[in-house]
Amino acid sequence: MAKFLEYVPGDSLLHRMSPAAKLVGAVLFAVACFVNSNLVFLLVMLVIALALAASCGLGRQTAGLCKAVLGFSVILAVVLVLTTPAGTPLVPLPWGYIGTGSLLAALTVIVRLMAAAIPLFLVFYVTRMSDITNAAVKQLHVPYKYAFTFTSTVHFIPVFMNDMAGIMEAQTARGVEFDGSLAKKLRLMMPLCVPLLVSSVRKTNSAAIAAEVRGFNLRTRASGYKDYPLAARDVAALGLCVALLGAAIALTALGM
Amino acid sequence: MIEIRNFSFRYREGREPVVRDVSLSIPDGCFVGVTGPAGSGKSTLTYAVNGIIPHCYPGDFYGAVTVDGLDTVEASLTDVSRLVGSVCQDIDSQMVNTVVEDEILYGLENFAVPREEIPARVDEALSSMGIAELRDRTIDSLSGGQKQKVAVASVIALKPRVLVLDEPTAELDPASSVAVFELLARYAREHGTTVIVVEQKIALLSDYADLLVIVDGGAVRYAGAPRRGAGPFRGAAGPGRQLPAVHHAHERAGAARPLRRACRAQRGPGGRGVQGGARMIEFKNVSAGYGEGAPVLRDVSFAIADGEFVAFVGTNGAGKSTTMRLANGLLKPSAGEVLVDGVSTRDLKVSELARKVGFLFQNPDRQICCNTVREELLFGFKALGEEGSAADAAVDAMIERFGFDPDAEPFLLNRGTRQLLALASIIVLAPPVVILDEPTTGLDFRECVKVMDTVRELNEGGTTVIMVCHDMEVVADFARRVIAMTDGRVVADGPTFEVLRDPAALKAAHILPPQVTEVALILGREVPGVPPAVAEADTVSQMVEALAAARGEEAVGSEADAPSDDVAAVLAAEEAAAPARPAACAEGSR
Repeated sequence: MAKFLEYVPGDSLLHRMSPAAKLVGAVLFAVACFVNSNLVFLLVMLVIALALAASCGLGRQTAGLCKAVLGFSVILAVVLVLTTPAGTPLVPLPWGYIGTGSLLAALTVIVRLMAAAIPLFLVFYVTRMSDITNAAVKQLHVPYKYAFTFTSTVHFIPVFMNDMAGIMEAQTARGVEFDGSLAKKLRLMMPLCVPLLVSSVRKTNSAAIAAEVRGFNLRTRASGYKDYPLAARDVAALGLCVALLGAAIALTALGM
Repeated sequence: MIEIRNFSFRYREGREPVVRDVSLSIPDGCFVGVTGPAGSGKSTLTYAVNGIIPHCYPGDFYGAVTVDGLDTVEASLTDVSRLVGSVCQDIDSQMVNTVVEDEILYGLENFAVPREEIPARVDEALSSMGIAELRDRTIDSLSGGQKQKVAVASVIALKPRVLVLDEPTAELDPASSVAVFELLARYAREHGTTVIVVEQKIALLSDYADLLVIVDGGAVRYAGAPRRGAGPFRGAAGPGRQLPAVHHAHERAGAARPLRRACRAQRGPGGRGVQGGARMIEFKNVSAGYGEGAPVLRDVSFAIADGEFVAFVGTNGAGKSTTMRLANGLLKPSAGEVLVDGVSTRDLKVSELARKVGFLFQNPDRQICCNTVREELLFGFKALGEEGSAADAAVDAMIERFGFDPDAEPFLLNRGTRQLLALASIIVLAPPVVILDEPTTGLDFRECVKVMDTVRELNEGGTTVIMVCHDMEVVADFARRVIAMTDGRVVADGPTFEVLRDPAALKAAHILPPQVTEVALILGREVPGVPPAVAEADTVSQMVEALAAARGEEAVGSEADAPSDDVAAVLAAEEAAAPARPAACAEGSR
């Protein structure tokens, strides 16, 4: 089973695209989502993002991702609803009111975060980790140590999640009941940070040693064996992302 | 050529040197097996060869270690790595990539191997390890054995003169362990590579190593050829040919007592309560899996009675651990029913299950979470809301029984003691059933005996014990019933020696029989005049005596009695270190 943010092999269009084009495209897409607050535009962006996910058969992973982003953005949305008195008043509050504008703003936040996040996360699902690192180093001129640190961090997320699941399982077997209220769950999970921390430090340490004995310090920009030439589809995709960003800026400039 | 001269090392955090005054010469192309108890300094010795000390773990380094004339202290770690390839113990964190091919490329890219050479190097490394078909697979989707081969391939692609591996088979089943060693040995032979491998499985080492190094207390206790093919067993067919010497070593180290007990139990009517007792754990046509993937377990049925000692065997991925998770309700079946003491796990709460079924996980560090040993032992009572004077008394009894320091910090204890603590924190609750997932993995022989002796006492006290175990010696020594699994199905279920003697069952479950069974099988098959009863796995000494009588050779006897090489001396030293060892099997049965 594919884990969070781990490469899923495939040969969809997104899989075949140049890693650098995917990275830059995803960033442009995310920026476009943030420079514009038009709900209709953002909904269109969300649909495009979901279509991209569907095109490479990652519906399940994306659904999981949407759920996670939703959870996070709902918190933001609630804050917004309570603190943005705008539009027709619906519910009076001691410090203002909740209006149609507040709800609209909250909805915008949720849609924006989801639309912006999906392509960025998709990059990790459709690109081998070494390709992201190497393309970032070779084409985007990111120093290797930074690129490696970043991709390794992403690589370790599922490892740590797996560890946490194992630790929770071990504690469940001892009678700790994790299913219950969130507050109770958090209280029970706090002591488990100790074993997680211990194993994480051990793991990162041995990972560092393993990389070092395979010549980590010798690596230069030219080291990567593979090249990532931009194909017509990459240029087209980048053009499309630039166009989307342009449209977002234009809409904002027009005050829409 | 590797030269270790008067090497001593003290880690910066440590008070005492972990290796003292070791001198060793390793000729080119030698296959070196390093073994010894946990904390004996065997890993430190290999770290000196691959430069991990003093470059990654600083400390006081005395003496000199040179590889082909290169001083591993003076040279940079990168320069040492050009000569010495290293495979670390923790395979999962060693992998820097998500796909097999990229993992092989990684070192080649770093060491700036010419581009035109790279494809051939990758192909060669993959085919040397027999994993050409895994090239485009994600590492995540591989089994433990496959990952180990990828790790080795990623290092041999660099064509190192020396290959250092730290416990490469610690988490592998016997078949995968042999496969890894077989490939390693072949590669080393073909390329003249020197191999240094730290390994607990002494039987594997004596099969493959040219030079066996036994380390204890930071010093080399033996360095020489492992004893092979002693006396009359030489030329006996199959993988058993080098076993007697190894077995002799085991016997002298004290494995004989449980072994004899197992033999005796086997001759009895199948052990206590196997048929008659109440059913503690029952699987009725159980299928189960994770997420949306294919089911890991398919239509599995068995019943385990109160007081039994059952071992589940089979390859990695056969469904054993899933079976254990089902048995204590961590996982619910997708079809069928799992009953614990007559109640379906679907109807039992987490706390009720924890009360009935204790579960010792393979990795004690996932279980240990408290600041002191005492708190750790109390944790289960706290989780169940049963704190009080009874709990305190039970904890005190455990501390007394295991000789723990109640105020010690669990994470600072050594691996074997952490495993014992994890076990103690489970059995302190006195659950009627205890499940052990690979209880001896990563433990040295002494720790293994300590853990398993505790488990046996527990079982003799009436606790039902179910364990998953790759070590067939442990299975043969302790379990009274074996359930063999393959591909999510039960392929054999019966008294230990019957299953381990059954060629069809062994083949179906991809397991190798333990030495004692193999010796019995070889004797029964190969030696004329030996009554078939020998094949029923009597005591080893009786078998050897029977063989001697049949052959009219006294060589067997003298071979068995004389401490004819230093391995025996070393093991005798180990015996002295653990004074509770019983007399050797041969003496006991006379």
